[in-house]
Amino acid sequence: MSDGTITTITILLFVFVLSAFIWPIALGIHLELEGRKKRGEPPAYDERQKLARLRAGSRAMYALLFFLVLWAIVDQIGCFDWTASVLDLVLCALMLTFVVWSGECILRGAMLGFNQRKSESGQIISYFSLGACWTIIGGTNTDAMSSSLRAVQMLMGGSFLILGILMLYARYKRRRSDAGDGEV
Amino acid sequence: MKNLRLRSARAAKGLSQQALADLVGASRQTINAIEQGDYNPTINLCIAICRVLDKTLDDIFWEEQ
Repeated sequence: MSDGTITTITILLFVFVLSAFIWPIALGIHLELEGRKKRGEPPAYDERQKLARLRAGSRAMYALLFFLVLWAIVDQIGCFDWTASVLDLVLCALMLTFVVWSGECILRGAMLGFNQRKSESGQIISYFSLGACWTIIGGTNTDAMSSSLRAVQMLMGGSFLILGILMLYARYKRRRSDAGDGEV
Repeated sequence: MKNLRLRSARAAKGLSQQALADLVGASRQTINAIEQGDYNPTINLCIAICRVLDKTLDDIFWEEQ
């Protein structure tokens, strides 16, 4: 390896290590500045929604703990090879907590803030699109080397589809409730 | 227990759940949950609702034995 290549790699590594220190500081400054901008603005979520989101967070944490214990037991028994992959563990754990938290928020009407004018239909479409995409990618991925990744892809597809179905159910429930609202 | 007094006071003011929710800074689901008796609001929200409906806390939220 020539001296020039070694110098280039050293500089790149130096920049990489430096960025590891710089980006958390930059992110912190950005969050603080955003927080200052938003201070004094009315809150996006009302008190019941905040409570529902906190409860959902608590449930997601318990689901994560249960999942980790289950994964550890299966790994110790050694019936499946893919339990040795940390990447799969992290991806599955992230997806699980995301689904539990989002699912609870959707069912409790706390996914969108009361003054957030986001499109619910757009969310439903994006959930179903993401679910279909990941399911198709996982279903068509026949590479033996990535069999565990395939399971993660299928899990992600299934999770987004579940969220889409929950969103549709919450919408149906709300519309039924609107009919009996006694609108005047 | 359903809060029928809130429902009737809202109807008397000619407000929908969404309209009341917008006036007090809450979601429509929250107003619905209070009316259905599924959620106990904080005193701040109770006061906000009473102010909008021109009622007292006793009128809307005091449970008679």
